[in-house]
Amino acid sequence: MTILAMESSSLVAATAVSRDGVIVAEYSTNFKKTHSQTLLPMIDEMLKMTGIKTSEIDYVAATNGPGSFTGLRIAAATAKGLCLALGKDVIGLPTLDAFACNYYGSQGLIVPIMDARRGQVYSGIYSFENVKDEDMVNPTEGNTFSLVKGAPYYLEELIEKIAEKINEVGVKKITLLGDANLEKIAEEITEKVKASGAVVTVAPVHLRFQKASSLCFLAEKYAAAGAITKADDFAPVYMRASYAEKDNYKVVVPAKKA
Amino acid sequence: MEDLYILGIESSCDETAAAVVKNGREVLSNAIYSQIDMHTIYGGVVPELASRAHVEKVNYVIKQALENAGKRLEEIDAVAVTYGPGLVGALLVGVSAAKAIAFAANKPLVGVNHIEGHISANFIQDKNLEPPFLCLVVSGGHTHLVIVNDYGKYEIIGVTHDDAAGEAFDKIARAIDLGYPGGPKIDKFSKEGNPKAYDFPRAVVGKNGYDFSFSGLKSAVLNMLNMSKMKGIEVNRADVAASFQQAVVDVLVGHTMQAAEQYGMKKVAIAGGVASNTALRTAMEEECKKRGYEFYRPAPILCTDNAAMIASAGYYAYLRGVRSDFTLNADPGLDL
Repeated sequence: MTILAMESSSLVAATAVSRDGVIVAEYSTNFKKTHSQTLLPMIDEMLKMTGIKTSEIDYVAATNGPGSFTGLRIAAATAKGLCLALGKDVIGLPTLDAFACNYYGSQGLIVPIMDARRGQVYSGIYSFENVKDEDMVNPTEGNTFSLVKGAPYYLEELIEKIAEKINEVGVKKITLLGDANLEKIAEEITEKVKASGAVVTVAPVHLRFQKASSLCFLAEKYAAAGAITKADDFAPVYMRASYAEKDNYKVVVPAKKA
Repeated sequence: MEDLYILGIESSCDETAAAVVKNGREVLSNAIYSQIDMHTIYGGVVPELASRAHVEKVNYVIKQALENAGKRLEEIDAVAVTYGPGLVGALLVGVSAAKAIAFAANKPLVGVNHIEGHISANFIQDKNLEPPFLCLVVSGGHTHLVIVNDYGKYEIIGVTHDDAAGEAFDKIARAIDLGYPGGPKIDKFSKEGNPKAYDFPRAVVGKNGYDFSFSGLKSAVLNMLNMSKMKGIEVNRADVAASFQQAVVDVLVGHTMQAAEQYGMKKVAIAGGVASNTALRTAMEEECKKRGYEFYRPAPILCTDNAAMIASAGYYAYLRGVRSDFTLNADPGLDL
């Protein structure tokens, strides 16, 4: 099975190709160019390098949110366009679940934190302890390694939930990853959970950002579980209303046919 | 020459559109998903909602276009897509999808300027139209007076200094409680009013006199409405609509006729959403007739944002050898 994975929900543009559990190519950029300029050329480059033809791709995996609205849409529209031409389906992966898989197999709580602006972060709390490989994935009710669903949270709210889970699960280690101000957040969490003796660690640079190889890893499990989406219907799950819908626009005309 | 089939994709504002056009002139399909009902409750296009709707509909609209044309993707010669000007988030959906399709189907990709698309709607409407000609492009986002010297060769001789013509229509429609979208509503309502009831200003701006300004006109209408309200005078809203529309039409037609004369243009075209305005079409036709100019105007379906016009513009760009690579990005402020 050949999976092409892409992710552009935050600063990183990440792409990878896996074939039967082997990552055959991975290409990430976190530089000045926009995702629109990088994502498809990176995919093109990977396929050229490996000699894999687009027709050999079985699934196109992309993160479906949360994340930057525009970033999510660039990946979604790219995945949809590829699948339209190839007649294939999409595997839509929750951004934070895929992100947490950077730390698959490690101990403690894994907490990816993405800057969500408006005073919030996109985050979730994950643990791979006591999770069997074969039942990791449950796309309808939530993946079993997800203790707190990936969504927008106020930082205080997130820290509260981390403290709860530490007591509940009894872990001694918390690993933070993502593009938020992690060093500062780590201090706040340390302060909050110091009674438990848990240690807060910030991920090193090579694990700190979204990796498309993590998408491939999770996508294989989704494919095995039959959790695929018709490309035509694939769309991001924004987890936030648009600014207008939050009553910030005055409704000047009643909703009626023009 | 062998027949060329272009798949056009357009998502610059609030219409998700795809079309297949043969040899730049013959429309085989023109699929449009309009979001207008969704935006009506907000009184205008909400960019984030537009972008969300584009990504939901884009594949359906493209498939519809191919199906209606009776063409498989393999039979398409190139993919043309609007990459600007427009709303950046909205443009990115069409651009990303078009790039991915061109890549996966191994087809040439041609980035198209939306305004060039509007002008090209005239090539679809009139199979015999050839440059050079003068074209007035008027829509919610643009007011351009353009000399089309050749396919892809444009000389802009007039632009708006403030509001686009369509924007002025929307603002005045809101002020007299007609709602959104303002253009068609004022057009219809004006038929019940007297266009000479109020003498609103016709602005002359810019060095050459071909530029446009609608903010003064807009303020004059709003001031009159406020003054009347304060004095307790009831205004006839249809008269206001008709007089406002007349002022806009006078300026648009006046500038166009002057330019045609000065530049020796015998062919005059209009394009863009406001080109469906019946008062503008009638006035432009009459003035052209008086002067012996040929007058061209696309059917209303080709005036609105659509992808057939993008495919047409894409066809001529393709013939000129224009090819976009996969770094093609949305450019919200793209110049013609």
